[in-house]
Amino acid sequence: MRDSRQFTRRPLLAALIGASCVMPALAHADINPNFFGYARSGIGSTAGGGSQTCFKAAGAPAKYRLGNECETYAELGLGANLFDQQGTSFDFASRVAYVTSQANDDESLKDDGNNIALREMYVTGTNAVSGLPEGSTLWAGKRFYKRHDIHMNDYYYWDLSGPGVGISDIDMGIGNLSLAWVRSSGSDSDNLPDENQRLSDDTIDVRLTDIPTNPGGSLQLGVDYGRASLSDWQKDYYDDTGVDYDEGDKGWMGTIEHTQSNWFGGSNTVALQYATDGIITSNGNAVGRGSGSLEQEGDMWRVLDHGQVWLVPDKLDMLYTAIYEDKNMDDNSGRKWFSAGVRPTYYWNDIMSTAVELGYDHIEPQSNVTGYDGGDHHVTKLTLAQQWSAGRGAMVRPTIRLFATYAKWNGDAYQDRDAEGYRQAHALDAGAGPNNVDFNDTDGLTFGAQMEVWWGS
Amino acid sequence: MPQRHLAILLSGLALTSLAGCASLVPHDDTSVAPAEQSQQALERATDCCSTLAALPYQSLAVGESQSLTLDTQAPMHRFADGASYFQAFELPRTREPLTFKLTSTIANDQVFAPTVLVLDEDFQPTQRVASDKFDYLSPNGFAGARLGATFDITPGPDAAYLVVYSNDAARQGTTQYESAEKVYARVRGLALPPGPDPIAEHTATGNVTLESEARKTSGGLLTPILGTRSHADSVTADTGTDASRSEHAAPSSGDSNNASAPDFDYRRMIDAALKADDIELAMQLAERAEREGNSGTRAWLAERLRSVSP
Repeated sequence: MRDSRQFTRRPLLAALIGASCVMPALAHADINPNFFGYARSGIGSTAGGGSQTCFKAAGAPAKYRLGNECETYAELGLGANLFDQQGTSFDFASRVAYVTSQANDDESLKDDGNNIALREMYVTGTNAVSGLPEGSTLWAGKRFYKRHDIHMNDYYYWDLSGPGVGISDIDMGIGNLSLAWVRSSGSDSDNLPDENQRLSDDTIDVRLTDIPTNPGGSLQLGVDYGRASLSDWQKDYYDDTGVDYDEGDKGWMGTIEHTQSNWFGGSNTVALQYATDGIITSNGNAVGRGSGSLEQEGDMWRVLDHGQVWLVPDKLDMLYTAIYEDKNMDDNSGRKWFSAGVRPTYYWNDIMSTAVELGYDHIEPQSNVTGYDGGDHHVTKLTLAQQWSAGRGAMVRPTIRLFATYAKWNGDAYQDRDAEGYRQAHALDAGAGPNNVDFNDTDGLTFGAQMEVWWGS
Repeated sequence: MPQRHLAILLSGLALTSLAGCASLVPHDDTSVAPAEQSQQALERATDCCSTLAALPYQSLAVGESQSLTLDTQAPMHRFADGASYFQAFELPRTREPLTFKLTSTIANDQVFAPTVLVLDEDFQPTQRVASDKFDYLSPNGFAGARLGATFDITPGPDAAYLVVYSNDAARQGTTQYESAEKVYARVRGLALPPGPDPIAEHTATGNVTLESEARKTSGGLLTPILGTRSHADSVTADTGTDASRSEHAAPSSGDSNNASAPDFDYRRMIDAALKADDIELAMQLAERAEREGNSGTRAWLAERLRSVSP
């Protein structure tokens, strides 16, 4: 009351000040942009010379990331609440991702290995569809869709991201139902006469989440069905050329996942997945959407467990993960993958911590793999990092860390160069960054510094 | 690969492991007492002081961030709106406008819902930032979930002391908040952690940080006219100690925090104030002008006052 009372006592001054100050205030648009994102960048070297080598087992879809990331990666997001009336709201979000090989100052995003990608551009309408329970959200556009990942090794085991439409989080009483149609187009430059004629791989995702099971625990169930949506002329073309797409372009994946909160101060997630044929991603770590293949037949089992615990409150926490995956492909191009890792971090104070990451990846290929060591091989990695962060906790950022990583593997690191002069994978993946250990080395040491940050709300 | 490198790494691992040789125990911030325990302690505690004048006032460290001890060891007083642990400060006598930022962090599903009371030099309450004027602030990668408010005070006869406490009504409330994991998941486009958002009880103790700094922007120009006000309109006049009478803030007539007035004509403003017979305001404007480098304004006003006096 004090403010207005004083103003009325001083009308002249109020007018003067109003003239000088109120106009700019009125010029503000009624939009509060939400700026969010994630970034990591740094510098590293390999003992013996050369830039930082990143150690990843050939054939594995992921690697333990502490001290083992060789690129600059960033996501910059902008969004805004655009409408919020009578319980209905519309929100916009966008995200652009950047990756460079962190080689020098001026890095063109067009160079090999560098990229700029439009990852998200979508609108959600919460409570936009009348008659549905409170919280139901209609959405359309391209987006990261309810991705499930393991932070320690940057492994996404259920990722339907892409352009799509859906309605999510419909409260069914026993849990929340979400339905989505997403697309992940592939191309068949080997067969199709016109490379621009894409193979539209459509995936339908149905999931029931937040099913309460026990105190602090909840279950979620999901089914994904994907197939290549072939036009009549594409079918005719494949029929004429003898390509059998009857089974290999389709597939489904089922997921059962249990998450336990209040788990030694953190949480634990265990998941079981089964997938068939065309929905299995043969390389990379995105699984659950059409892979773009027409002739991929086989099945896959995967079981994993990951989480975070506090071993000593506010002093020592730990990330951990264990993964077993068996891709059994009809053409014997699959493999078994076992992975396990722990990252205990000791917090000396609110800012400084020491993290240790021990990771192990074992690959047991089927008989017909190409491009890397066809025998069993494994990589063990140990990283020690001194970190300065904005607080205590495994996911607290920003962090600046100094690290040293020692890795050991069996067999030669790489195969001889190919016709174009590039090293080929053997025990180590050749595409995870600079390859600065020797062909026949069986261990390596790297060191460097990295920052990691996320922000937004 | 030299074996000594491996040895160094393994030594580091061993050291870290030794530091953490302990059984798995649930994460529990030991610095925060359970809600019931702290409420019982509050009820048993002895009132430190018979009057507001007798509270133990500390001098305020302007420009610093102070962590306020609001645990069961803190002084307790039975305020008009309820008993509470508190911290009390004497504001500097510089009359320099100050901006305060008070943050109360949520830990272990508990939070101290603060009220800020401003007292005049006779220790009478004049203004209040009620607990419901504190906004919920979600975790953002740099800070955890918390309650926060920003407000301005110009120390003077009407604003000589500041008390941070809580009251019975505030402790009946709760704050639903988002975990840092949930915000991280949203920012990264990950599946959100299942389950409802946790609810923090408003408790008798907590972790509160008080930051203060001198307002140096020209936006402070409005302060002499508007008196003390909150960025969130949260400082309200308080003629007594009854909280219920001071819950509603006046709408702001301009955002002094963002206002900028380069080359503001102080002398014209002072002339206007003199015409309105508001000598107090004219003097405040002159002080402000001097502080902003318009030296000679005070002397000029004195001259004007002499010329208009009979």
